[in-house]
Amino acid sequence: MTSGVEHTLPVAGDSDEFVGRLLASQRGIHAFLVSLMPYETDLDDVVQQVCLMLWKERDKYDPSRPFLPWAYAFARNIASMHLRSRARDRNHIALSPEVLERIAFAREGQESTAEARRVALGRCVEQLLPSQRELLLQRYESPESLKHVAAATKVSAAALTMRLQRIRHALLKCVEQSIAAGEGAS
Amino acid sequence: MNPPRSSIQPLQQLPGVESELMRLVSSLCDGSPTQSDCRRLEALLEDPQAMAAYIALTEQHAALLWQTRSHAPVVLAEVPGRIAPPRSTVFGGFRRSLAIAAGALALLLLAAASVLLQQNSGGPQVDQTPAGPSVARITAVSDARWDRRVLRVGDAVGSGPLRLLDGCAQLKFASGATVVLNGATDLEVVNDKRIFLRSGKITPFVPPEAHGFTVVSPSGEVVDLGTEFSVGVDAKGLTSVYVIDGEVDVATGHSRRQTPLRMTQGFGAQLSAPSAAGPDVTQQPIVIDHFDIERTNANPNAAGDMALRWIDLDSGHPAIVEGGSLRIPIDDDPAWADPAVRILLDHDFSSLVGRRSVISFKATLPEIGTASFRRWVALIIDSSCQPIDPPQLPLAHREEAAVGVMVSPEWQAGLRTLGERHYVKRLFRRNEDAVGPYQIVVSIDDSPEVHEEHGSATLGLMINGVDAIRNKPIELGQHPRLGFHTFVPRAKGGHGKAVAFIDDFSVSVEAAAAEASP
Repeated sequence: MTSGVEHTLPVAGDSDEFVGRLLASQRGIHAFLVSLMPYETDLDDVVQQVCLMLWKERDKYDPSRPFLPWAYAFARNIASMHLRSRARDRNHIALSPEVLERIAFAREGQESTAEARRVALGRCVEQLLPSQRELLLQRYESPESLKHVAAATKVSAAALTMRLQRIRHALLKCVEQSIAAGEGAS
Repeated sequence: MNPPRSSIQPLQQLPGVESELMRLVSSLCDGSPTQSDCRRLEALLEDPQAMAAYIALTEQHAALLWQTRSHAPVVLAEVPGRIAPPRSTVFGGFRRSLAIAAGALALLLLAAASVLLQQNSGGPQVDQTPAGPSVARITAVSDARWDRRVLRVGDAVGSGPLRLLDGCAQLKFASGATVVLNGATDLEVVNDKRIFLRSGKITPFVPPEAHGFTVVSPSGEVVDLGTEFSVGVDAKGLTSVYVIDGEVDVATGHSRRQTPLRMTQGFGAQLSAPSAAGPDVTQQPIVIDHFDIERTNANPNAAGDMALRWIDLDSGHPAIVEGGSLRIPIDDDPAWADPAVRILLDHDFSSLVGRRSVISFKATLPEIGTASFRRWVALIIDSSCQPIDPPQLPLAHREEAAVGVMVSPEWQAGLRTLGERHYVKRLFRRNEDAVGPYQIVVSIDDSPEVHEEHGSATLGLMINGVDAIRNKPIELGQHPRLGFHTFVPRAKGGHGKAVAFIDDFSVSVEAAAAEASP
């Protein structure tokens, strides 16, 4: 506590810029982590950890360089730490560390179109049948809810899983076509 | 290995593999793969096209997760076209400043300071005949108006009633305790270690030799354990206590049988009921009503540990306290960051440790974009024992309006943790189109009994009378912090001004459970 009337957080002026970049990059960091651990209930927490780590290491960031690649390096480390600790759990299934490395590497090549694909995805979701959208919504709202849907509609969980898989496939194709047609590229 | 650049190759080029890949990735996304699925997928991912498809699929998965699970308000079924909200890289509005809201107590301290400054400028020091044996002396006055006789610096005060109508005065008791009277005060001096406060606000400064100095109020007793604290009694006899330094014991009612609540530095309490029936402390929880405090630029040092730490990151549209309600203005000023991140309270509540407590408030979310924005109320838990850093805040709350209560540190809430634990863990989320109000009751039990039973403290959450979480294991740590965060989307297309409210915020702490069990 200093004696001033107004306090500022213990953050230097440059940090405004850093915070800006960090905030703007959260979605990218999130997507990066999802690619490494697609099903991870604690994903938000891992994202938090990464952001905290980045914040702590902010002095080492060179503002003249792009933020995301710098952030991904931390994200990769924290993700593998996380998965290592999870590996002790029974039933925890994940891809091997080597494959994760390759995913992270391959991802860099697709980074440039990520935003366009997201935009395209929005349009593609719009084109789904209402029942498909509803199922998708239920799945992403809460994975648990699928069980209830299965129970309520007397559709087996396996059938719902299959439907989801088809929806994902349809979305993927739709996005690919949009990108190929250059629609979402602007 | 050369990853494919730019767009993804059509999957049709992998005819036999495509459906298998889809199945594997889909099951990985839904958490139901087998070991052999994983190994098979790893093998498939040797192929760059399969890898590209994997990346596209997980990215799609991420986008859907991001928008539905916790981050974005867009409702898939209703406004699917808005999956990718515009990114803002303009953070010009994201100003970091911290304003301390110091409460009445800070004003009290200021008053105390001004009294001290003036203590040598009082009138002639003439002894007046005290009402009883002298137990105290006036050591400072400032614009003091007394009920009957004029008391000046140096005047003796005996046992008996003492009424200050206006201004400030300071008394030094023979025991060594110093008491500042701030504004209209009606008290009875019992002896040099005991006063009865009928109404008004006083701040005792108690040196070690005056240990045990006791303020009795219509609703309870405050026994000093070597500290500074302040006590106020309002017109209804409700007693507020704030501990500036050290510890005090607070008891509701005046029965000796009762176990007092020990309050530590930085903690405030309100003895909520007059004590006609001598209520048990456990049934008369100590209540803090923080939103009675006013924003002020009072010396934050003085405010220090007793006033709430108060941070509003949006200095352009600061939140205000009005009528006990916290109003958080939300403006669609284009200069705003996206999202606007606000911290509205950040305060050390060490006194929750070892006890049962209940935090309740009413949250009303802003009406921004009601058509397209889902609303939710979040409980946010921050495990950091440090004051909040902005980067920890908005992660789970992009593009949404949310109000939450935050508790920390090292609060795991059933998380698997590793390394340093810094989480903002959302335990609860509620998708509702309605703006509320949501009546939120968070109960935290850190009592020895619950530790015995559950191995840790537990948390419960009730929303609008419905249990959302029960007995969730948590680690409270030694210095839990409570705070409000609000996260507000930048209104797209201009939704006009809006206001979020937090009302009726209170923290009730029961006596330690060991003492409280019936």
